[in-house]
Amino acid sequence: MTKPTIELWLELETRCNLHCKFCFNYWKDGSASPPRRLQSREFLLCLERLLKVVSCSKVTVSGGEPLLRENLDEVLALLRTYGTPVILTTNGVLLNPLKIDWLMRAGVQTFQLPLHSADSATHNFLSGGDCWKNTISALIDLIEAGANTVPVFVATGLNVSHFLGVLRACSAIGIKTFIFNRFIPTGLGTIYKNSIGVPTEPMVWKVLREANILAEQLDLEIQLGTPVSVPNGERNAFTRIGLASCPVGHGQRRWTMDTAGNLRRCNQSGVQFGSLLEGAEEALLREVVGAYSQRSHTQGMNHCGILAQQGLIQIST
Amino acid sequence: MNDKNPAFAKEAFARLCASEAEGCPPSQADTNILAAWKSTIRSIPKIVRLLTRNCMYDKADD
Repeated sequence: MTKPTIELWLELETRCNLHCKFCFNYWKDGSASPPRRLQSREFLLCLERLLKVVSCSKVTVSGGEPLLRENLDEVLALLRTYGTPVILTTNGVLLNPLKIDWLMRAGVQTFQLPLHSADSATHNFLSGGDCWKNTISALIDLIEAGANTVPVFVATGLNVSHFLGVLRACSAIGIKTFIFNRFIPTGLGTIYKNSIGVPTEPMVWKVLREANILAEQLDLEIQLGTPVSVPNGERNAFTRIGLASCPVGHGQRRWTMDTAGNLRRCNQSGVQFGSLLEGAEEALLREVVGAYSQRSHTQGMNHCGILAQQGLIQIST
Repeated sequence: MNDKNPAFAKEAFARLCASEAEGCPPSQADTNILAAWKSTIRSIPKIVRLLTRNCMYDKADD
């Protein structure tokens, strides 16, 4: 039988060497403990249980900071065994030319690095550490190595207007693809949301309209990482922006696996679907087989449930 | 000065970002350094770039 295909967000590490004020790790606000870190052998066992029943069209290795994980090499080797494309989301602090070369040889195809402003002070403030120079250095090292490099911009009330500057600056070093994540106040973001601000939809629309014009001029692509409700009649105007839709729901194709071997539906929520130590892969298989082929035709645009719950978006009926 | 040296590219990129943050145009010297450096770098095939979409979200239907 052909295995169903999913995409996996792999939380490989709970620890981080930065303290981003918008961090969405659900335990960062102190309301919950972080998922426990399984020993290497157990973690690999869980991952392999999942890979045996589903194909992953891509795995995004994340955290925390995934480069802090001591057995990253074993995880990448396992993913390579299954021929899975790997995206690494890292803050870039620990990258250097040797590490980049090693990661690319180990199968990492795309590197996603945060860049929240061309202004060092703004980037450092949002990142909770003096890391802007590391990011600038890592971006050059990645491009020098021929790595597919994608800056990730988290749009808060503080920096949303800085997105155009990030596009212009990165375009000068040949970067073509960007991710724009609207800030969703979960995790540490719930603590800092008043100081960094949650951009309103009109603020986001304004920047995205301008970004689309700039992207056309500079031949860039922008992918939204979190859903944005585009006003009626404007979707076709976003020629360079890939809109996003919340995947959460029965038969969903995107799943999160954490350091404890738990499967979750949403990487911004701690709600567990089940543990791979206890056979959650079978439940996932039952759900996705047959369900998502139907879903793919009816999906449309789903809003972010977290933003809706917090009253941060207006959903027209 | 070797314009193809990544160390110079890093410095030029940092200065270019600072100019951007101040709302100023980049200096011609920095633009030239980055252009020279870029000319030594192979481009990323589009098929690889298409693998970059954020994993957790579906693409919204048009």
